[in-house]
Amino acid sequence: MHKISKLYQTCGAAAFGFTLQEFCDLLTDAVKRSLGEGSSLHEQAQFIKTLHLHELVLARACARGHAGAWERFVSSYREKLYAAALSIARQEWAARELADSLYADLFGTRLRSDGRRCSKFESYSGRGSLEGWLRTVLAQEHVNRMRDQRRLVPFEEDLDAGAEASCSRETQTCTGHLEKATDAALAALSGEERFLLAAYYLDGRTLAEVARILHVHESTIARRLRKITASVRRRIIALLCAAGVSKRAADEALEADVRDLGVDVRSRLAQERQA
Amino acid sequence: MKRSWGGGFGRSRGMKGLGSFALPRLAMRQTPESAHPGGDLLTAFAEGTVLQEERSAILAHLGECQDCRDVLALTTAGDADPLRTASQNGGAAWWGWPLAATAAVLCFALAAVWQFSEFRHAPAPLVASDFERLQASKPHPPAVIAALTGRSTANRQGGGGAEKTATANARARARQGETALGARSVPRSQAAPVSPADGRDESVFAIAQDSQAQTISPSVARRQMPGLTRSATQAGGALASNSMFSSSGEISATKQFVTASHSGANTIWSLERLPGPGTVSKSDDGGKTWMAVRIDGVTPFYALSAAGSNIWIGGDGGKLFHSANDGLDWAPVSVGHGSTRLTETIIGIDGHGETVLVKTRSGEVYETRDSGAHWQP
Repeated sequence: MHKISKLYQTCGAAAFGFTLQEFCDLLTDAVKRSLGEGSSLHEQAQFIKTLHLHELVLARACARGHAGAWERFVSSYREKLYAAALSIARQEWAARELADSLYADLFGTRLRSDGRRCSKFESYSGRGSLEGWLRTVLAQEHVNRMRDQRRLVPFEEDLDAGAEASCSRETQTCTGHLEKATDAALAALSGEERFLLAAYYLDGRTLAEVARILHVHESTIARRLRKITASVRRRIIALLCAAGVSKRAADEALEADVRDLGVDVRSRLAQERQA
Repeated sequence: MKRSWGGGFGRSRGMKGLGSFALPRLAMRQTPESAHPGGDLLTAFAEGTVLQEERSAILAHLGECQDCRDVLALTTAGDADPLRTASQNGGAAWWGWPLAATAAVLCFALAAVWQFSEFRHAPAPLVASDFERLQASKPHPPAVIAALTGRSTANRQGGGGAEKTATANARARARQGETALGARSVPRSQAAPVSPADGRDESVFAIAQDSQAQTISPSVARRQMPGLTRSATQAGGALASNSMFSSSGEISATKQFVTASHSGANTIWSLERLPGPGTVSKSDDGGKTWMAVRIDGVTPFYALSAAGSNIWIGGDGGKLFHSANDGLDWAPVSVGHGSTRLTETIIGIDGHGETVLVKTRSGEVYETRDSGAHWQP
């Protein structure tokens, strides 16, 4: 309790209108959210040390509508929020809209049954910095908006996507063994390995961008990707061989480009029709 | 966001590609089985503060959820990555590692020679140009890197002449309206050598604050704090901002300081981001323990000047407070000239007796020579 009192004093919760008990409840809630029930005191103490308590207190005070807390938030974070929105949305009008929308959510435009506002600040539990959390929330909103826009594609694009999908289904039928082996090889990867492959090959992220996310050097990412792709290839060949495919055929299958296979099939089908 | 990969099968970039057969299979797995991590957890992941088991679960989700990967990429896009290199290609050139190792050895050798020569000489007095240079490198005000330098009793006995000259020079500059505030936004009481009358001990304190929370390199810290021992700066590698140190090498606190000022032998006043607006912190034991002193409980303060029992504190809305009895009582002081009253944020204060200079965020400076009764721009 003495330690919690000390934390209570150092993080300035009293200045924002929190009693010691309310501060304790805040910590208890944060611990439960992350560690769940049954964690030891030592684990809880270690976890609390990682929390951004002063920012958590500020955020929760804002959620309660504390005027001083809002003044502090506006003076310290307003510029950062708009700057983050601009870096995410890239266009000024979109950035302003994004930031204004978050501001409204932080203030809370809906009221609870007890008359209190539903503020987005209540979902902040101090795990990361408040500035980082604001940026993440902005990014989430931006991604949601982009996803909604993607759903509204022109009719012609839908047709093209369908045609492409049906074409790839034909080629996949031709490489049934390869598909199964590939699926098994990918399933055997760890979550981090799948993330690396998806971020680099599917999303087209640069090595530096991926490295920044994982807090490692980009050469580490390059090395890991080389290892993963080599491991996936080895596993696929082993599975193909286990399925009765010869080693040579397995190697050839891995080297073949799916698009080439597709073209071959279509040209063969065209020749058969003419015949 | 980069979404269309349909035409980009087999992205190789200098390494053996995954093979175009695997990419469609990988894309088909992009249906997350677990719930999306909340903004709080994603932020903690981006900042590297999640628990190990949480990290594994988040990575597993990220491997299957493009939306969350996009969010993470946007979240981390603005981060300065100290590990970045200019190369965007996969893998380093074969000569990269030996060259890097040789360069590192040379750098260490040069740094060792430089450091040794630095410590052989007597500690250099604090140079205001250090503040100017550092201040100019900070894009977001208020950004103050302040250092308090104490002098030993030897200086008091034999070096009084130097201190008196320095103080006289400072007062002369104040009379001419030219002070450290003029272009540097650093209270001069924090930059000048200590006068013997202050009776400060030899402890050296450094308070570094950066709105972007950048670290301060040990070499910069040692230039600012000549008395700082090598051990203090080597303890944890680069010094964290918002930290306070002593010359004994002990890092005594990691508070979020905005600025600080000595007012006596062991008395330090400081402004911190917390305990919140309208309060300042005071230590009577050289920084070991601190207590919060409430001024008005509302105003965010950014500027502080303390000399003896005269304490001046300023912040948002042009609000200025003065205590003539070491913080026991506080009186609001209205800064203005003629019919105008200052309403801009005060970011610098330089007080010497009855003469006080106040600087605003826009660069305006106001001076009083009668402890705030009358002001001139």
